[in-house]
Amino acid sequence: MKNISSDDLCHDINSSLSALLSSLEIIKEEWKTNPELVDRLLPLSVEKIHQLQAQMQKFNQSLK
Amino acid sequence: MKKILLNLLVVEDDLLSRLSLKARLECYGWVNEASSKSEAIAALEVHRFDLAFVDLDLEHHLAGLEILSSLKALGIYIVILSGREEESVVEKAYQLGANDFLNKPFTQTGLERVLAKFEAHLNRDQSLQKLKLAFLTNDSSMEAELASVHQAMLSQRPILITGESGTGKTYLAKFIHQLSQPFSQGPFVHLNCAEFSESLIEAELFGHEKGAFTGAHKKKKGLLELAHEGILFLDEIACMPLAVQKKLLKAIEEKCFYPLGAEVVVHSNFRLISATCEDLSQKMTDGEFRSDLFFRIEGFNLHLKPLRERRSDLSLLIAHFMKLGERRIAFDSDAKELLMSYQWPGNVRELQRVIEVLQTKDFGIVSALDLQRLLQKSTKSAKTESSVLPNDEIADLGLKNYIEKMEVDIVNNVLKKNNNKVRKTLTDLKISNNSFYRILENAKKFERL
Repeated sequence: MKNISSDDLCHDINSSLSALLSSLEIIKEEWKTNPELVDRLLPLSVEKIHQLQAQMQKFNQSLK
Repeated sequence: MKKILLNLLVVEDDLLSRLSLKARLECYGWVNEASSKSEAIAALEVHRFDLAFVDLDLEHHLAGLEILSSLKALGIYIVILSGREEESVVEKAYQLGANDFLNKPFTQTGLERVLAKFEAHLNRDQSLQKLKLAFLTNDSSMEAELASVHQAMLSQRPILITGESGTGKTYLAKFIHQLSQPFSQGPFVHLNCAEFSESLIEAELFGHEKGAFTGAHKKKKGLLELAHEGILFLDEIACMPLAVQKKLLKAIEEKCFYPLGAEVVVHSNFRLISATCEDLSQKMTDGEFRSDLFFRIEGFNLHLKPLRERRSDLSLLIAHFMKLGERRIAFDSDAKELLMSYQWPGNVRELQRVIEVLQTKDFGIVSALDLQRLLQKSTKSAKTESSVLPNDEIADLGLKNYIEKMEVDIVNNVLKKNNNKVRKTLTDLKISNNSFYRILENAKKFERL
């Protein structure tokens, strides 16, 4: 596993959260009016959740 | 932000973030995407952009910083997006020309704040010009102060306006309201703290339920509630009673409060502008103003200079006020000299009043004597040097008693003028409660003499 500094890890978690929050907000607002966009965002959001999960595991390990 | 069509650039390597931001921005204009530094540079060669959102970490650590100089050179407004928490990164971004910094994760409100700030930036020259025209100034330090007014308008932080009576504090507060987003859409609620007693000011600010106190015949909304989404202007805040200061502090911090007698909390989102002609530092030292409240109300400090310190503006102001009246008058050369050399203790307000009064008189050409009479009336309570010469009364009373008697006379006159309103009198005379009651005690002594 690539060694990652705590600053970089914080950055990655913040970035993932930001991407997810933005996309979920848009999905909430546009699923009826713009389903094509939601179709693009949904799989990317799922992928991002997995990324976030991995980042949080690293974060938890760093606390131990 | 008003819907104006903009050319926007989003430089972001993460596809989900890029698509989401693009979707959010499309209502503002045309959005061009770039996923790397090279794509961004290529886009800059083809298109002209108004605003660029730049993620700091692109293909490598902080690669976004490397394109800031190119964006800046093209006059593009730069907003940095980053999940980095290191202060050094923020500092570096601003050094390289960023205009704003949006921390990830950001909310829709955060994005709207950035866009409102950008809109204000677009209007900067226009609003600065408006401010200069409104304040009629060519004074360089006043111009610098007005530039900070513009900065204050862009922010949502509290504003504290200081300056002597008559310098235009209320006028400035109203002006800020007109030009500050998003609060210009909301109300401008004005309270002069010097005009109310402690119990009344509390009821005015926070409102009350029916029966909350004797005389509360019906429920009344407080000014804090009425100022929701707008501006709350607390004039003469130095006169705010200590007990109310504590409650106000809590309301400012938490944006919510309980009206008198109410059990349900009221939420209100307002921008606070305070004004005072007093020295709040001195009031804090004297224990008459809470320091925690002071630090809450002084987000931006704006100081309006007295007229005697911006004499270069006198001609502009005189010409302006002369045009406002229907009747044209002229000043002879001595009168002009007096206008320019007078100290104007009542500042712009006094100047305006003097010209208004002169315009109602019979004469067409104002002489120095005509003007002198009016100026003496205007400052009859302020003794000039020549009138404080030793006289028989000093010989009778002694200097100490004479000075005390003068204090009593001045306080009585101002009290009478203010219809016996103590708080207003304290403000006008810039004296503390203790001084006021000491002078009243002295009054008894002189009644006996």
